[in-house]
Amino acid sequence: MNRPNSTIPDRELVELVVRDGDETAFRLLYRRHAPGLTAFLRRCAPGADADDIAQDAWLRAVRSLASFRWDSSFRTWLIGIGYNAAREASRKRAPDVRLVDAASPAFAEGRSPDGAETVPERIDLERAIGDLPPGYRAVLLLHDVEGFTHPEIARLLDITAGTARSQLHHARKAVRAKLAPEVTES
Amino acid sequence: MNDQDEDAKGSLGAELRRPDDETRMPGREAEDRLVARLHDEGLLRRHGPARRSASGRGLVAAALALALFSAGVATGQWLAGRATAEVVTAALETGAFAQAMAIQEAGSAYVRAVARFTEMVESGEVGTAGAGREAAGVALHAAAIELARLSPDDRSIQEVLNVLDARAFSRPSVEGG
Repeated sequence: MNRPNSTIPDRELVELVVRDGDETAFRLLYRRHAPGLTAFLRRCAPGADADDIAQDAWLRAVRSLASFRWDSSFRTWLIGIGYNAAREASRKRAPDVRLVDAASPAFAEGRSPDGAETVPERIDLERAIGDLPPGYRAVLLLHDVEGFTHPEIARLLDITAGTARSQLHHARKAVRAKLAPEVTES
Repeated sequence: MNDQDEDAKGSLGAELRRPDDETRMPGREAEDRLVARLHDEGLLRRHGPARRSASGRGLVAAALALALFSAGVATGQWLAGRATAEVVTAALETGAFAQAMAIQEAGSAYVRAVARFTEMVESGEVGTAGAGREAAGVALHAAAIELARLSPDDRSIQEVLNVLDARAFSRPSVEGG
C-alpha cells in the first residue's frame, strides 16, 4: 500500500481482509469506522456498555465480510450490525436496568472540544434522545445522524418504510418538545 | 415538496452530530483485543497476505530445510543456518526496507552455507551429501515460490519455479549418498 491510508477505499480494504486476512487493512478499516460506530451505540443503547457491543459488532462484521454485497456503504452495513448487536444485548440485560442513566457515557461525555456547546445543553439533548421509546430513538439516529434511507431503516428494523417515516416524525417532535417546548411544531 | 425534502427540512442531524464523534477512537487496547480475537478465529493473519498459502509453505519448508541441515552437517555449519533463521525471524517483525536487507543477508547466508557444505562434502568431512542437498533444494524451492508471487509477470522466474516444482514432485523426499 503506497497511497496515504485515508485514500484507500473501504472496498479495497475489505477485499484485502477477506482475501488475505490482512491485519493492516483491518486496522485501517477499524480506525476509520470505530469512532462512528461507538458513538452511535452510546446513544442507541444508553446504559449499556457501548465498547463491548462495538467489539461484538466488529466480530460479527468480519465474520460476514465475505458475504457483504455492497448494496450499501460499509458504514451503513456496519451500523446495521451494531444496531442488531445492541438490540440483542438489551434483551439479555436485567429488566430493571434503566434505559436512560444520567451517569452513562452519553451524558458524561456531552461536551464538544471547542466548548461551543455547554454541558447542560448537551445533557438535555442526550436526555431527550434517551427518553425516546427505543424504536423512535433508533429511527431518529439512523436517519438524521447516520443517513439511512427509510427503506434501509425498514429492512433493518423489520418495519415498513411508512412506519419508519412516521416514527421519525414523532421522534423529532418529541425531542423538540423536550428541548424547547415553546417552539414545538404544531 | 417531496418526502426527501420534508425529511431534510426537519432533520435534527446538525444538533445531534458531535464534532468529536468521528475522531474519538476507542482505546488501542480494545483494538488489539479485537485483532487478537480475529487472529484466534483465523480471520486475520499476522504478517501480511498468504496467497496460495505460500507463506506457510515457505516457512514450513525453511524450517524443514534447517532441520535437515542440522541433522546432516557439522555443528559449525548448523550455526550458520541458525543465524539465517534469526535473520528471517527479525525480518518478519520489521518494515519493508529492513525486510529487503534481511532478504539480502539471508540469501548471502544461504549461499555461504551451501558453499561451505559443498566444500565439506568434497573434502570428505561429511559422509553423505543427501541431507544437505535436500535442505538446500527445499529452501531454494520455497524461495522460488515466494519470488514468483513477488513477480507474477516474470516468465523466467515462473519457469524456474516450474522446474523446481517438477523436481520436488518427482523424487524421494530425501536422497541418499
